[in-house]
Amino acid sequence: MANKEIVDGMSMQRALTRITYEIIERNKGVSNLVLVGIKTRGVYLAQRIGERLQQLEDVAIPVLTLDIEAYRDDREPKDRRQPQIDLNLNGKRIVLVDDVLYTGRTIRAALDALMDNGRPSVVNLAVLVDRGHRELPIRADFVGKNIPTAISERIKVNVRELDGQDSVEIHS
Amino acid sequence: MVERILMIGGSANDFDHETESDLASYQMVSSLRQNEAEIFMVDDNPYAFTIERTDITPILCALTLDNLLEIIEQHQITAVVTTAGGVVAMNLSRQIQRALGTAAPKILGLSKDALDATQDTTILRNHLNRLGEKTVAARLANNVSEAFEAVREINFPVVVRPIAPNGGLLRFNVNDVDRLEEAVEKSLERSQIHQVNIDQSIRGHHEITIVALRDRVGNTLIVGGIEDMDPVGIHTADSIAFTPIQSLSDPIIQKLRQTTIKILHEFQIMGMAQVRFAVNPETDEYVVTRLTPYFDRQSSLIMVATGYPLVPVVTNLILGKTFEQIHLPAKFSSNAALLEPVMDHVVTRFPVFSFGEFEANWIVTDHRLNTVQKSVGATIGVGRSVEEAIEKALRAAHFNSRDFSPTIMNSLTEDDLIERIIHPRNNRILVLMEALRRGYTVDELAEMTKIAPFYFYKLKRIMELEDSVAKNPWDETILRDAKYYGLSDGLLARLWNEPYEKVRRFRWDHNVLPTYKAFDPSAGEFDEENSHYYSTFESENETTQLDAESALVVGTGAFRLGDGAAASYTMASVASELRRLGIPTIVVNNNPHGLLFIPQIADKHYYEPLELSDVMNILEIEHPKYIFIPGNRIKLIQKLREMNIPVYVIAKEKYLPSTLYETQEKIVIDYFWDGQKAYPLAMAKQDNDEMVIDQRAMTPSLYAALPRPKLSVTRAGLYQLMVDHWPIEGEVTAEDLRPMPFTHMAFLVKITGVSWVRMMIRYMTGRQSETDTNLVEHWVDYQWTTEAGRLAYTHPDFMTHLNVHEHQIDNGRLAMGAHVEPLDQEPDSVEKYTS
Amino acid sequence: MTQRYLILQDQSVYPGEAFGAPATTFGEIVFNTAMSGYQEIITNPIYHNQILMFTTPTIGAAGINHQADEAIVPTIKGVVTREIADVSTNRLQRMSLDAFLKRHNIPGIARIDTRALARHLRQTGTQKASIVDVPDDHAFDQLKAMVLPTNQVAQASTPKAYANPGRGANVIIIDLGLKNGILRNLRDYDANITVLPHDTTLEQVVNLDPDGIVLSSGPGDPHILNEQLLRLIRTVQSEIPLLGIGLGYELFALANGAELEELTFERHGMNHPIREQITGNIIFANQGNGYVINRASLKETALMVTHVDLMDHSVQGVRHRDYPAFGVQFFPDAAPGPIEATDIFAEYMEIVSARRGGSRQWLNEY
Repeated sequence: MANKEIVDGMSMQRALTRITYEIIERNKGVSNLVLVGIKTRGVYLAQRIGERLQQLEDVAIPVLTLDIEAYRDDREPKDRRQPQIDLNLNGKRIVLVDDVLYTGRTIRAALDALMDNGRPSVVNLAVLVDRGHRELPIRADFVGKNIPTAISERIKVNVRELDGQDSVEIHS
Repeated sequence: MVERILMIGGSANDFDHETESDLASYQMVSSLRQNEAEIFMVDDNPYAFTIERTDITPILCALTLDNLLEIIEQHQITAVVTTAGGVVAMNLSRQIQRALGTAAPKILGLSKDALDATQDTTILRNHLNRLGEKTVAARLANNVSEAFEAVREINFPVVVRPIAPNGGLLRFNVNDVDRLEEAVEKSLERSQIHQVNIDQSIRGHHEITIVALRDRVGNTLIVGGIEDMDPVGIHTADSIAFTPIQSLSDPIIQKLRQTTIKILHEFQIMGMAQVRFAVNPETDEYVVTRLTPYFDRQSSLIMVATGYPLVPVVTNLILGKTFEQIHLPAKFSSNAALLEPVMDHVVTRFPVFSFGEFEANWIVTDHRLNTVQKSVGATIGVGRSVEEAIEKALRAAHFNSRDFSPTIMNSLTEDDLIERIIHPRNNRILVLMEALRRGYTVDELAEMTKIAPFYFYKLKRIMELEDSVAKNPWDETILRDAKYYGLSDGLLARLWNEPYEKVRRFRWDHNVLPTYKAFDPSAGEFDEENSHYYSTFESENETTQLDAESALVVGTGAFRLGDGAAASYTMASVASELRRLGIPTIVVNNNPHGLLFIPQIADKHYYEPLELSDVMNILEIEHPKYIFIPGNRIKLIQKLREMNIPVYVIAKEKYLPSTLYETQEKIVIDYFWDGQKAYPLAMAKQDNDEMVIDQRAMTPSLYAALPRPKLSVTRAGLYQLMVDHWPIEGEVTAEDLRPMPFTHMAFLVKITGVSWVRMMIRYMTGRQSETDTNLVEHWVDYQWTTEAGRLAYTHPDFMTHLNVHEHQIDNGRLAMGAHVEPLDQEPDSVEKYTS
Repeated sequence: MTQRYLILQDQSVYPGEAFGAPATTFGEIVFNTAMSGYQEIITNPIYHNQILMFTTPTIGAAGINHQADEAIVPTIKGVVTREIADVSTNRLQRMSLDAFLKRHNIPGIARIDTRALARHLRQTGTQKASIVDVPDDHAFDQLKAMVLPTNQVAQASTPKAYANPGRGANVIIIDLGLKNGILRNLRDYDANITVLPHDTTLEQVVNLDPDGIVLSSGPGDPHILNEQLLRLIRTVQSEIPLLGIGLGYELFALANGAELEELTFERHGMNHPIREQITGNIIFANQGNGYVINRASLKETALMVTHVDLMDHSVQGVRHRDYPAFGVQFFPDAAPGPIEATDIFAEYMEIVSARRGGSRQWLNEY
């Protein structure tokens, strides 16, 4: 079992910076934009992107937290009507943010959860790492790093707020 | 919440500890106060200046862990500042952290790792390895065969030394197999745990220090770089140093910059840290040798040389502000904290040695420089060229040292010369110039000394210039050249064998006049308000007279053995009091660690040598109303008086009676002379180890019985009477009084709680208040802040540093530092003083 | 030493000592406050036709080594310094700075009170200057009559396209006075580089099927360049990742409707803090410019401010809101100076690589 750092703090910062610019390019600005971070690390990444947008454009972009636990397809369906988000998403341009894109099942769950909160005009997906092996027809619009992996390997994204440092590690 | 900050002082002066931490802490308090912190300062250095500030709570006690823990509890300390107290404060902070664990107050600006890495090289090494940065390769060995194994890995040359040695330091530089076995065996023998360390040798590499800052969010800024002229193998304190870096090209400078930044990030520094490198000049490869996250001589040099507001910025950074949040006093341009200083001048620091003082006391020392510090002080030279900086530092450092007499150089035999080139001594600059004079080539000398050839070209120019000056008296072109490259009128006078006055007149007649330039961190890009100047001889002068009513305070120059720190303390008190009285105050000094470089204590600073020619040049611009000079500048005082320039001498008795060979202790009576009457202040006893004063000893009857000799001078002053017995036999006259030594002044102020130095200045300038006269006249009725106290001289490791046995040291004259502590004992009687 | 004189348009005279070539020279005088990197500075084509003054008192201590060249030959008009180190001591040194300048027929003048001169230029602004043997009326008349060249870029740019092959992304550099540092940095990503002259047409660019386009730094007034280049920028920026540096950045800004204003005195140095707006990070970089973007003029454009100089609050970088097209006023390639800004190349090449092999549909439209 070996841990290897494959993305350092600097490159991670740069990837987030690039994604931020791409979000501006894609959305032709930041009006109506809402960032939605998927728990846990997606939230921190969404906040980082939010801070960047604010520093650049001097507007506060709403950053919301999404807990998809209740929507997972490998669990018994629970009460899905618990309100996750206290913001009407009708007509909003959503950027869903997660750390790693893998099978796509998390994102599917996240989409379900979003749709329960309104009818956004667009939903885009931003991920720090795309490691392949999709099981659903889902793709990211903004990708920090494409990292080809074996199914036996594990990708760990570290964020400063939680893990003390920014990095992406591969565990095999 | 208002932070309750404990500042740990630097404790006793020693090798490697002059007044640089006091210089930083004074400024730091000013900045902390602007941030509404409450400040407690603990120190036991009798010569400390900062602790006398009236806006802090001073705590005078021994710097022990127990005392500090008690202070932390009693005063509910929330944060500790260690960066302005040198190694002592760093050690204590580490102990506090260990003792209190998570309950310890936060150490401002320093992560635990940074604190540890300054004292434990393996921690530094581990971090550097993690960063992929090279360090000096090192291995431990328990026997000869392991030593060979280590050397196969590291490669020759190596340095072998015992771990936990018995006795003094022992190091072997080993270049080949033949000497390895012997070196290892000898080291094993000397090691208490029978283990040796084998380091890759970096002798001959160039030493570079980068001073950098980092804020809470990770922004960094490089304040400056220092290049040691002398290679690794000569202690940094004993090296001649230059800033900015002179002989490296941009790509390597940028590499060192990036590595420094990486290291600051790694240790999460908030504030300042310095990274030291050894650079191999052949390959431009380098290793990191040291991390210093506190104020020391290197940061002092950078602070003085660049004009960057280093201490105010660092203070804000350790409090957690970002560079952009720092608001400096209005005299700085906006965002001055963020501008990386650039210099349009050169500053060099020369070490100053004490060999002369020892020899005057018939003590023989080893003059050869090596990895153990031998210098006891330093001085700077500032100029617009390396040559000018060297010339100014030379005359600031060695204005009257025998080792620097040119005649000694002439008489060196060829063998002596070579020996001195290879084993450099304090006067190596002159030796190297002599070698150039005798026809050695730059490349030969560079090879023999490992000094960058760049410096030899500079020395060569100085040498040629001096020769052509000597050969061409009264030649205007040569005069211009000489002045352009920093030669003083005094030196010209010597080389021409003419009186100084005549040279000065000749220079005036040809309109060759000094021009003063500001220490400007933007190199002319911004129009900064400036109050710090150095001289050169160019076309534009940037300064004019400060005020017709000004006072000029001349500094004490480089520290030498004895009272360097106390003298610095005294002159800083003088300047600070003058300014407080509203007298526009100008200071001139050349000691980069000296307290006169505290920006707040004067309105204008000159960083100049203190030779007559340099001081005269300043007088010609400033025409101050008062000139204050410390008594050790005998020649300067004499010359100024000869020219009918009135001076106020802050007296210093040059020839203190030796206490070394006296078995008996002496009784000392301190007086304040107000110009008409002598007022006894305190009674002390002293011997070669300590001085004690005790208010309780001064009973009313004793006070009444003390002699009150009448002096002939009308100027106020502090004096002493030293006697063997009480009661005194025979009549006491003015002849028996001597000026109070600086060390005693500082001690007296610390214990009584009244700044008698400041009092003296108020009387000298006729600005004493009614409260002052009351206090002086009724002093016997006042309660001292500390009832009794002891000043105990410390015992620096003279054996290791200078190969001198301590029992030979006359502390009254040669002590490097002292501790002061309050005495808590039964009331003393005068009998106790005399028994 | 021969005495010579530096004279300025405002009639000031600075006597000094000659070094380098003995020629009489004319040019705009600018000063640089960097403490290291004189060779990189002297060979940077942004100083084409200018007289360069150093505020650091001594230059030449490390001699000349060709790894530090920023162009094949230096094209400055003169060097002003307090002192030139008479002998070089660096192990890479091939020749002394003095010999180098002689070889390229560039005169120099030493023993000038450069601090006084910098303070003077700061107040009076950039002006014409000349290094002469005699500072007489004739010399001043000639200085007055001197007309600053307007074809700076044409002179500094390569006359013909050339390749600098690599195995990576296909990157075009439009040479407006290209500095080697840009090539070095792109080479670090193994880019397959083609350098094109300043008057390249859109068709020539399209035909090379680039993954990225870099507009290099260069000398002179950005307004003088013809509309063709601005049109080219407007066309390609929507399709190909674009990076503008220095003059290239100024043109990128002009092409998108921003206005530029001229500085009283040109800013050359590497000690100003530059804030990257998106992260708040502060970096230091080699800077050299005579123009800045008028911030107010950005309002009506599709550009957003990405970098700001914290000393004078000037705009130091802009980016197009809709496309991966951006530029910086400073030199992210360092050489000389801090290398922390080289990250901009990493950012740029990341975009170039990500888009590589994408749709080429738009190409067919031309």
